[in-house]
Amino acid sequence: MTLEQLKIGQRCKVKKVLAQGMLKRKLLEMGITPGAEILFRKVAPLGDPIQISLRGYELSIRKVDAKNISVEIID
Amino acid sequence: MALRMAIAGNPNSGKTTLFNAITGSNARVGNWPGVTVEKKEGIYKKKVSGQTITLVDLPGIYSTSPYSPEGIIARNYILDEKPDIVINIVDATNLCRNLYLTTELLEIDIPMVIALNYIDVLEKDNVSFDVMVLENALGVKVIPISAHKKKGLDEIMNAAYKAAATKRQARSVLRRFSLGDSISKISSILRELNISSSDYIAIKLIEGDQLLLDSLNLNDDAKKNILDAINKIKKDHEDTEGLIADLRYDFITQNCQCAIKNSKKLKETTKTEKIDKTLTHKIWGLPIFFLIMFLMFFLVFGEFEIAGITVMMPGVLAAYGIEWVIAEIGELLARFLSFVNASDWAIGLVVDGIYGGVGAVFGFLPYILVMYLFISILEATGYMARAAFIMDRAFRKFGLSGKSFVPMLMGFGCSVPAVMGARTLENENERRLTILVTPFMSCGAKLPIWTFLTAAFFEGITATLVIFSIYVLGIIMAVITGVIFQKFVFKKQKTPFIMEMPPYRAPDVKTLLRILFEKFKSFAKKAGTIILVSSVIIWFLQSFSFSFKMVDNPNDSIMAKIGGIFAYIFKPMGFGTWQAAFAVLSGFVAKEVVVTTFGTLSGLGDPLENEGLMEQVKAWITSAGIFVSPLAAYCFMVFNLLAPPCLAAIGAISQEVKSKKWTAVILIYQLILAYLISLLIYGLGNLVMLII
Repeated sequence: MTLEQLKIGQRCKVKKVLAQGMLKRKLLEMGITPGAEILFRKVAPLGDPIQISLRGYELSIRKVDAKNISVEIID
Repeated sequence: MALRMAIAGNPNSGKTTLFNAITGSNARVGNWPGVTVEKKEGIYKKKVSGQTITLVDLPGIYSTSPYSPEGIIARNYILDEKPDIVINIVDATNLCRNLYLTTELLEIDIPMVIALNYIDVLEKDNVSFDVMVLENALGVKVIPISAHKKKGLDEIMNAAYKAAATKRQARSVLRRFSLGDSISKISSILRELNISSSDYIAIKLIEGDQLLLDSLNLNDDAKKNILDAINKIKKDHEDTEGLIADLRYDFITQNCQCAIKNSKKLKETTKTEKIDKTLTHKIWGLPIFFLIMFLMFFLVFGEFEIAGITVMMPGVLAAYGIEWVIAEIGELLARFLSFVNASDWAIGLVVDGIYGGVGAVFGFLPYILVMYLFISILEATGYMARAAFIMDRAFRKFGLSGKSFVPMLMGFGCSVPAVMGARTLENENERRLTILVTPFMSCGAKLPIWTFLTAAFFEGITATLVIFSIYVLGIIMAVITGVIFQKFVFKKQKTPFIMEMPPYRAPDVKTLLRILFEKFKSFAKKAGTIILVSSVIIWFLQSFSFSFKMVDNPNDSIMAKIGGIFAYIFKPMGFGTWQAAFAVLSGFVAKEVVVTTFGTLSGLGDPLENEGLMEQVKAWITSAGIFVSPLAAYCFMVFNLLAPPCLAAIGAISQEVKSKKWTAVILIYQLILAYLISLLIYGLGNLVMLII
């Protein structure tokens, strides 16, 4: 599954960053690398973007970009 | 020679605060050649061992990747200009992500020290930080500091001075991993060619950095060897880019994270989560956002009457104050000049031309400063990121971002600060588009035009609807423009929206004051140059005839003749008279002047200064045949709404887009749109009336 499919409050582990080029680089640099743990924090009032928490900080990302992050849920 | 130190670090790491604290008031703001990023240079307040130290504040970056102008600037500066030392500022409360950049900077052959900022936030929660752990892992000196409390500043500067004396040969932290052999192989090929920072370049080449490869000008032999080595890595790992980023973070979590001893959730984090529960709440987030925006707008432009007393908000109050001072000085100036028997044209040039023009523009200054103060507070506290988070979806459809909202709202007050406020947008296309559409928000100075003409040509509820429709039309045009530009002009570039949500922090008062002071300086400079010259030119065109004689009757001026030519252009919209054209042209000085011009042309006087005149001028304008019909007057309003804004705003536009081409694109687009839409409305309006 991909990141934007998570429910609020769920945690996941990054499996792979599917994007290419600039998007991929940005995601990697911000710490979204394979194995990184992500908490799905909330969805913006208008339904997009989403807010996630990883590596001790908060990040906001559009759903269309989050589609490029393949994850697995941790219980 | 002065020692040069470059400060590099993530956005929100306290870089600007550190820079300001170190340099005091000795900063110079300029631009990096060719790009729209500010460059700040300053001098250390003290001297170290008698030596002067120059500091360069590099743009805030998350990495040195060539994907953003900021990243390219930072790395080009460090690689090409070779500062004596790099001071890497690291946010101790967000250690892991901040150190990603550090691992990259460490690969460059330049001495480095780390300024570990926000250490006081950790201390407040009794979280201890073992600096030695970090120093051992990274091999550079680490100095804990608190930029906003001005702690550790002397220490970091002394450490930087000491470290700058010894050369440093960089070794990548990635060498200890499986990729290490390949890195050292490519690195040694580069070093044989006398290329410095070989580890850094080797890794960037493995990541596929074409820009860097091209800039090296390698001979074919070396190029082949390097590409062979890279291809070998690619055989073993399908995703080298991912692997390298992954290894950097692995290194950080394994070796650096443990520097924080009794790690726990910081109070600041808990506080931020709590505040966000309200401010970005699913239901309350939006109303609170609008409330904050309204308050900001109100504090800048608000003015109301209560129990017969006029209450003015800070922006308006300051504006009235400045206006009064300007008028008084103008009066004195005129009296002085006539006292020394200056000739009429000299008085005209100084009082109306230079002083009038520059003074009118200075009237905007209070709005600009007060608005800047609020925008800076929104940014410094961290709310700006939340505003973008809340509004992004609504604005994205039009090629804008959530951050476009603030400048567009300000546009209803005054385009000048609004256009400047677009600076908060990082994406270049979004910034240009925001700047382009902001003047469509009907500004305060255009309001007198609407009220004047509607009162003359429309009655009762129709008059109110007409004014309302002008405001709505501006918004619709902004939306349509956004869609057009997104579809046809910016189609290539689709930038991802990946934005850090920094913790809420109290703004640093000194930094705020510094921003205001810098704003004031740059504004004064502009008023003294471009606006001064333009004012003189316009005054000349208005006051002289083609035989270079000063005219008493504006009908004989050069401007009137030019207006006569432009009148043909406006004919299809029903206001093809030289008076209307003249009014449009004079509106570029300031939009209120349009109404003043009608007063002057009628020979009655300025209706804005003498209320009694308003009715007479209105009567004159309806009877003089300047507009063939009320519809033509409406089209005149539409043209003024969409046409390029006043001189001050045009100045702000060219200053903010920092590109002659784009300034031209924006102004020409506005001009064409104004023409087409008023033409369309005139045509459709007449058609509808025919049918009715």
